[in-house]
Amino acid sequence: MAVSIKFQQSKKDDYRYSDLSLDLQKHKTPYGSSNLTRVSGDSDIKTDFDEHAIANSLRNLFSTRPKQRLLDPEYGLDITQFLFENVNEFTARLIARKIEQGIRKYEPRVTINFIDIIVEEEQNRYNISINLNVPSINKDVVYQSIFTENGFTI
Amino acid sequence: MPNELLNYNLPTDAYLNFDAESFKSYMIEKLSQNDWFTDQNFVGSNLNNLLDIIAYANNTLLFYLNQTSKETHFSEAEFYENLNRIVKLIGYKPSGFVTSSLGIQVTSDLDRGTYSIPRYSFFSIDGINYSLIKDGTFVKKDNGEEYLSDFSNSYILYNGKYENLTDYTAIGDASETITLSTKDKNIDANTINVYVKSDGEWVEWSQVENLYFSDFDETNFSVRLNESSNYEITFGDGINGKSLSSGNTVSVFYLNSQGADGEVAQNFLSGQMTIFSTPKINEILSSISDVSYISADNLSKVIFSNNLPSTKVSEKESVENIRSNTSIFYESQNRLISKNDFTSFIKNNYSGLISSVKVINNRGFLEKHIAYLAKIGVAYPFEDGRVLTNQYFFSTPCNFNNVYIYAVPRVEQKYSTLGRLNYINPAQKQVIIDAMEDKKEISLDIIVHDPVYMGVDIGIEPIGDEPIFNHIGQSSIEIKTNTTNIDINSIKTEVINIIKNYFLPTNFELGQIINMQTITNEILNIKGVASITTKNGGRESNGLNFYIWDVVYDTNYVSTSQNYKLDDFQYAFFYDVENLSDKINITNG
Repeated sequence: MAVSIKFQQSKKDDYRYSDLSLDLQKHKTPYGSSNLTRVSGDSDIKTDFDEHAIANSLRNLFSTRPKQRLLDPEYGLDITQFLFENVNEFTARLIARKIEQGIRKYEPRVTINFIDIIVEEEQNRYNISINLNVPSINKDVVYQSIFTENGFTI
Repeated sequence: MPNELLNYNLPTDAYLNFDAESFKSYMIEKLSQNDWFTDQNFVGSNLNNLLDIIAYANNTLLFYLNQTSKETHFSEAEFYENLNRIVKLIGYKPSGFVTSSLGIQVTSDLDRGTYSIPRYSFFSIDGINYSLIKDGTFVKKDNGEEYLSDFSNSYILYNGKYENLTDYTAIGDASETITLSTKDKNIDANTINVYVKSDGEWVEWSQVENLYFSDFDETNFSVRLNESSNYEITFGDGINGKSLSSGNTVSVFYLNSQGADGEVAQNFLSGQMTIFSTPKINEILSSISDVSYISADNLSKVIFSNNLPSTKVSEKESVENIRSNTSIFYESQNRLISKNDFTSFIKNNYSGLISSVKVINNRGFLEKHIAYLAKIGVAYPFEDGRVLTNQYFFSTPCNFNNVYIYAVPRVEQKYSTLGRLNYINPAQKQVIIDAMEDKKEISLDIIVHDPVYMGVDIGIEPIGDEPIFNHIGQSSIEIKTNTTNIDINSIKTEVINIIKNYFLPTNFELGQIINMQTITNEILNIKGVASITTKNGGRESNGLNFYIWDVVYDTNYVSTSQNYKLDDFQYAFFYDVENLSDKINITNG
């Protein structure tokens, strides 16, 4: 049996970017009583919009190493290589450079305002703050996280 | 069923045209046609990741779908298991492993009388076993030492030793089948024997190619190598072949070969043959036969020898061979009429014994072989040794209905300058002829004939001379390189390998063209080789020049730089290949 899924027109003006949320949570259908023909109102998969959608992309970028992606083996950003370097300012600069290159290459929706990395030598970690601007929605967003032996995710 | 998937504006078989990349592009295109999602277009998004996984999974599933559908077709199946099942539908039986066999010469100083050596008696020499697969009977005509020519010409030893499958108690079903596992064993289907005990008496059942030709009461069975490479021993159903009765005991004996490790050189046989004796076989033999077998003491007075190496083993039929042979089998309808029928029958069934085969009728025999013998000066061609031997053993006085099968045995002589002795012995020929008996046209007489061996060597005659034997070994190949920075020895090795490989028995056929261009081009294609010259004393000739001559009759010398077509009865080998290295000189250019 073929299943046909048709989306009604959504209020496109309310957002610019939309992406699946992989939390796989139920989601009250936004923008009116029913955006989906197959459900009456409130039970489709959750969707992320705008800066949250962009966050998805950045999260995927940081958590993917080159050659992991099936159809795009070059995609990914491997900063775990720096875990074996001394925790110092020099390494922090290299990490910042790497992050900058990755975002420029794979996330064209944003421009980088600055990347701030605080070296926490005693804890053997870096506190990374990425300050971005999303020109199309005219918004600055900051993603902050800790880079440790467990990796880096935002 | 609709011709088009309306929602997607695609034909129903469009899925066949998608690979992972194009399927992903298509999904992105469809998602972009509405406004709900946008991030399918950004490589890092969750949606784009998900599309990757879907596209990849689709591509993988399509691959397996394609593979599975291919495997159901005769022309495209690649797995042995599948093709084996497919060809079973038309009754084709893929051939299995063929063990090596050994022609024998037997002498004895026993007293005059008739003696029978029990089946499965064997030699065990340095861990290598050779066995008789049937009772061997000979008549000693006089007292004193005597060469047992009839026995020598009638029996062959096969590599391996007989083993016995655990007895099977029949259920009594029609077409009852016993599976003989080949796991860790090399079993030749032709060596399987089946005995059935019914009402306290053992009876030997006969192996037939196909039970469909058996009457309801014939005690026959057929053997087929199944898709798992095990042998299925199938009994009749009471209509085609007698069926087993409930409670019958079935005992299966088979020769477990030692594979390629069991191949032996000439003069291997020595010592005494051992009688195969187990309680089971003794019980069976005493039940099925009233023959008084030779004693171990008398058997020690029967001396076996072998003046030729054993034949090579042959592995089970490959998928490609099954594919090509099945159509020939189907075309021949299990009968031997045309040249192709005979050729494919021998290639299918005797690949372990024969490396090359050509089939001609009596006209071809007279116009080619006999005419050739007359041309080279044999006064009475029909009385020539090799011709007469085969006529004597296998032909009737009437020749017009003869089918001549020229066959080169799969044995290798140690030195290529020895007189060629590698002819199939009469016992081996008789095995082939017997196997054809029920399939051939009734009026045909089959003669498995020996080829005329042609020697090939580097050679060019001196100026003003005709090619003669004395010139053999005088010529050399002079090869010039196009650079000084090259390893001369490696070039020489490559040249030797090219010539050796060209004349390898596995690569060479009766009646083949000796293709000088191919050999020359292969040598010129070696990196660094600039030119080839054949030289004899003061005479030089550009390119490669060979002497080709009849080594059996030491005549018919030909000197050629052009392609040379052998007749169907002729088979060439490279003469004195062991010293080829001395005839190749390489100089840096």
